[in-house]
Amino acid sequence: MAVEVSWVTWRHLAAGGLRQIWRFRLRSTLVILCAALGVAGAVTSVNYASGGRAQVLEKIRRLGTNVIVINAEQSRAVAGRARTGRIVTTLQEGDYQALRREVAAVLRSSAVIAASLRLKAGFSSKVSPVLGVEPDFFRIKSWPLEAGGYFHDEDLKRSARVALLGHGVARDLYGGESPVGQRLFINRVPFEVAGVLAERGQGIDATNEDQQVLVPLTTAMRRLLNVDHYSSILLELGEVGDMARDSAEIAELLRVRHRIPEFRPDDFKVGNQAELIRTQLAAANRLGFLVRWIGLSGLVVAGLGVLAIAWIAVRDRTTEIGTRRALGATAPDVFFQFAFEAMVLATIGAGLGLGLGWIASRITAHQAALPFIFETGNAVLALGMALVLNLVFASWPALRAARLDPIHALKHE
Amino acid sequence: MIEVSHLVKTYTRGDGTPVPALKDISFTIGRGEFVTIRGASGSGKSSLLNILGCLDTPTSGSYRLDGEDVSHYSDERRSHTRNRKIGFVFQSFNLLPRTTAAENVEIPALYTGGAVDRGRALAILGQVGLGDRAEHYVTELSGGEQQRVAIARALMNDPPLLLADEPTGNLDSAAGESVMQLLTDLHREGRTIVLVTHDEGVAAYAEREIMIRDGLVAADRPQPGHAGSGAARRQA
Ligand SMILES: Nc1ncnc2c1ncn2[C@@H]1O[C@H](COP(=O)(O)OP(=O)(O)OP(=O)(O)O)[C@@H](O)[C@H]1O
Ligand SMILES: [Mg+2]
Repeated sequence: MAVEVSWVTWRHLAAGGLRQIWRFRLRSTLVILCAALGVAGAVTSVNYASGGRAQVLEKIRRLGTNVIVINAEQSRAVAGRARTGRIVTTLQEGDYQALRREVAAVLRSSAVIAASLRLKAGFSSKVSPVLGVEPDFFRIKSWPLEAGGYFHDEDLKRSARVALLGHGVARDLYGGESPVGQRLFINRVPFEVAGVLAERGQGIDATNEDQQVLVPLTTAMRRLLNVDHYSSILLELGEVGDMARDSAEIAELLRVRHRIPEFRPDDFKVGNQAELIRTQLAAANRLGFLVRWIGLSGLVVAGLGVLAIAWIAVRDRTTEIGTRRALGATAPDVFFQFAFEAMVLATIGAGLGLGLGWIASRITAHQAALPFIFETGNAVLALGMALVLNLVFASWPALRAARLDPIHALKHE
Repeated sequence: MIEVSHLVKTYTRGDGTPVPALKDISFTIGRGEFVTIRGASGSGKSSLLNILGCLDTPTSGSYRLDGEDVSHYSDERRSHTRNRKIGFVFQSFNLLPRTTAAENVEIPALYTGGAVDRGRALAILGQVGLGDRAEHYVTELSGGEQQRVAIARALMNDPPLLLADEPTGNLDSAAGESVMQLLTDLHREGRTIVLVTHDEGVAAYAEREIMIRDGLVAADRPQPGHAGSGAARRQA
């Protein structure tokens, strides 16, 4: 005889199950908590990893994968006699012009001169890195403004004494006041603050850009430092081609211009961010992978909690099961009753866990200074897995309940 | 109503040794009879009642309930048979905790596949004298009241057969008497009642007594007080 299922009966059992859940509040709360914590943990950890990954991607977006940085460097042979800290003067205006002329793919560029100088505003004073740059620098870096305006090509022509402040410098020197239009002394030279740049946090190369002050390149070279060389050159390439080949081409060009013999090392360093990005992205992905497994095992542990409590419930209610069987409940009826009760609780718990996970994701993102990410796909996946796991884990005790021999169950006390 | 012939029940212990609980039991119980099964502890009374109640199947022999051989019914068909034809009354009441009297009475109706008639549950509770206790939680009731709730529950699906295993075993004599009085009333209404006990006083309420000893029927006789009346009913 085929197992026939009476939906009317199951509707009654479902209604009774809801009453039962309410009557055994403590146990029900435990099951709900178990399921909720599992889902919340999975959702939070996955979102945390996603936040970390998003942050790396954001850093990459800021300083695109198509940017090549050329730093002036002493070749090791030269370094031998330059230990007294002489400034490296190998990157010259001629090099810069040649690079812009010869490297076809260059879309934007900026020469950079950097030095640590004393800043003074009112009674505040501090030493900060000051960078002389060209207007394209901000576009290469995708660095938006927080207040005020950028400086332009005319400012470079006039060697205007205008400065842009990093977010941190602005805060340190001017506190709550708006620095725009205020006076700033850099090495006793008066400047006007043209704007404040948006907060950046730590860059991919680990420098704190929020502590920098940026002035027009010519102003820095002529009015502040009185030099005619650059610290570095930024080249943004138009199409994303073969970065390694472009780097090699640039290196060859500079070696020829610097007349470096075959056997001598470079007096510059050509770097692109690709390598750095690769390792950081790999690390972020590894973390994501690990966290997914941790999240999954959290779900399993939560499921085991549901299992344990459901198991205890079946044991505690053995007499009830025997009685119901004697009064006419079939084995499927008993299974349905117990599976239903556990699933209702697990579902409430999982839903609650989703909410908890959202809150916890916000908090962890805030505390770790990561972007807040709530991946709906992952959350739904966690929810679905929790429900499937709990269905499996709740079915086991329910199956045990259904298989109990009514006579044994009735004798149990 | 009940026809058992050459019923044998042999349990197997954990270590594999067979335990013969019922050796060869045959008797017939007619519709409307009130029979007690009496015997010493371990004589096999409960084993017999479990088979009569379709909770268990005999090792061999046949059991006809209402003319149908139910001894080889599947678990599911036995569940349905219990639900519709048999009302159980247990020694320790077996009411669900944290549940009201009325909800307990409704339980058999849950498994019929039809509607649950709350009105009927209340009416039966009134019949057993607990009309004003319907919304009480069972733990708020006395033992005698609990057993009467259990009897009301056994009546919910209007089964022709009532089975009771030591229904007064957990009650003091006054409460036991009221329960027995209730069962006697139900018998008068035409219900078939089979009651297991080892108490002679309880057995005196019935019209017929089957004595079991070591898994065999030792005696099957009418109760003196009721002699004749039972036979008259059987005739009808
Ligand atoms: N599940 C079982 N497994 C093994 N032996 C059993 C089992 N159930 C009962 N028995 C044995 O069968 C015999 C009859 O048991 P049963 O419960 O029918 O006795 P009883 O007459 O109801 O006794 P009591 O008056 O004490 O309730 C006993 O010897 C008992 O030990
Ligand atoms: Mg017994």
